Amino acid sequence: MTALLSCRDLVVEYPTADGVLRAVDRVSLDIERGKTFALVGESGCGKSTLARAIVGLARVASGSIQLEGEELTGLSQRELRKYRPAIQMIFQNPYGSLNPRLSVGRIVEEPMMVQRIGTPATRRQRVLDLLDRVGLTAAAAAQYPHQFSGGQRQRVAIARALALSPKLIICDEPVSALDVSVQAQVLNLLVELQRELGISYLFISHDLAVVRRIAHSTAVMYLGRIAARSSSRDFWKAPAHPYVRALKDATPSMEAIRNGAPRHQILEGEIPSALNPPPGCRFSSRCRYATDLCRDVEPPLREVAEQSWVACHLVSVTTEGGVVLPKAPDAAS
Amino acid sequence: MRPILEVRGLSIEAGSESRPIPIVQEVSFSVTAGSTLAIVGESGCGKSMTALSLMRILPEPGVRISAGEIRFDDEDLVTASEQRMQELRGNIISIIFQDPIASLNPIQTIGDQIIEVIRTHRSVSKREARSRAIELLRSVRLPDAERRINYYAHRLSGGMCQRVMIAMAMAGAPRVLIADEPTTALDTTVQAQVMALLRKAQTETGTAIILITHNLAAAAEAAENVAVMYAGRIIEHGPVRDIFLAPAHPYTKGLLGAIPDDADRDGDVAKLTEIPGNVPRPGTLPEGCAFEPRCKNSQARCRQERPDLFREGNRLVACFYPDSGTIAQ
Repeated sequence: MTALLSCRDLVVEYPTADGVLRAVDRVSLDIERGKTFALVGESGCGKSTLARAIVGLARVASGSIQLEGEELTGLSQRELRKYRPAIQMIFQNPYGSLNPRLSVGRIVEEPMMVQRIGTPATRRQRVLDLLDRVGLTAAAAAQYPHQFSGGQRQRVAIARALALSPKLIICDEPVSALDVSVQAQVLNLLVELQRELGISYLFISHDLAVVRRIAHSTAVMYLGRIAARSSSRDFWKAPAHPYVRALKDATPSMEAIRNGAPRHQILEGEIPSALNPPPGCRFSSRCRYATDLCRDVEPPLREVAEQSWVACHLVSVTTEGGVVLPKAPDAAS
Repeated sequence: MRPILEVRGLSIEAGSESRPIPIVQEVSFSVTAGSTLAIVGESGCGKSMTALSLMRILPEPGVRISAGEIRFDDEDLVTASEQRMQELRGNIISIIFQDPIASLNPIQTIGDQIIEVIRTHRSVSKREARSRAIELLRSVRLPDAERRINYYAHRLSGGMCQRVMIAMAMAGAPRVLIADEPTTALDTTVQAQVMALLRKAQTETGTAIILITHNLAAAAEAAENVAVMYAGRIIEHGPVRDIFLAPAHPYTKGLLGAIPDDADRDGDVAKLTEIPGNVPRPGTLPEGCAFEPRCKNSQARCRQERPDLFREGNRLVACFYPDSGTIAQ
């Protein structure tokens, strides 16, 4: 079966005063039907730009985006309208992404009005069904966004995204702005909807822990490139790529309390500017394993275990099939 | 050890004098030198207002301390003069905030801002203050400190701005450092750098840290003691290990269950424990226990009566029906 959405060698560039910034650089990925593909990375890694390119909000410089085999790049806004219902989006900030002057009912109805679907009466019924589906009451339809908490607003945004029965919903940090106790509600709702409706998600997050709970397949981006991609849970337990490992190490966890684990390995420095990425491996400027090879030659994404790819020269596969990094030089630790 | 800072029965309210809205109620905690207390809770629980009140920088007159004491050595900061507070602020008691870029003055170089802090509290020459500022920036590992001291905040990344804030806060080797969500606005790898930096500063100066955070895992890693706040009150308080390994209050337990933490998890996409409902807004609290409407242990008594904090082993918990299975360790 072909993937629902495939990107191949996707490049997205922004013109800036200091030259062309390549935010997404030759990225390929496949999102399967009814599955969640997570894209993880720190600010500036290109994850949101990639999402914007997929919904047609950022111009693609080269490469392809195919939805069920249909090429989306190069289409005019008019031609693209036909495909828009299939791909919807939920944003990070539920306070900024809902029009404060429209009632919740109207917000959820609007996508159907734009696409000229149904009559006012059938649309109203659909709105009520959708609100019920996301755990809001029918009374919510007459209320305005300011009357709701962040979690409830995110439910409204989900109802709006569902209105056109999409095949793919792009969730850009959908729970980052929410309280911890409410995050779980929203994540669970997304998982439930997927089980019932068979929707695919492209889930964008900076948090590996959130992603590992809900994603079937995960890719970590660094400076516009995919550093590692895997759909294996074992891989994420001890990710072999130096950056992915550092990212995982840096995430606070309860593990330290449970087994008194040692402090994190701290990754020094910050993400370099995408205007002027380091030659060779993008991570080489911060990587404590980096060799001359890394600083000269960009490592390709290669399969190191079943369903697991890493872009690193130094990762090797043992005879038992384990994926390992070389020993770290002591001086750098 | 005798605490450096001890808060007793602190209450904060907003609104008019005749119809006050309670924001924080009867909060008590203390910190000792070289140790870290984490105050955790969700938005609106009163944790940040508590932090601001310790420095007496509440957005007055709208929000004010209505009862309680803040003992610092032998002084009560609630009744201390404004002049005395100015001596302490940014010197003996410092604070760093969530948004480091907004916390810095955009039209003054970072060097001038640090020098101002140093010269406010010590009579040193500009030249001396400047070399001290460079020293401080080096100690927070701001790369290329000699050059960057002349930068404006907009030329620095969020992580670098937070380093500058820490350098500024540590300028007077404060005895208490209040860190209000110091890493929330930063990238994951930078968060780890900043937390390491705070630990380093603490080891070097023996500063007591009060860490305000919504991130329980961050609290677990950084603090020895934790106070969990809900709707303006501390509902569980004690050693981090005891509380996070075996939470007694249903809210603490719910929060911990809601963290996507997968250390011992395998298999398919799993459900997180959710806490139904929403965080109550100040001024709309129910009669009995504030958590009752969302609580799975709730009984009739919880609706009528508000539970006070009581001692259970080496922790305090405010619940009539705590999770006894976990508490019986």
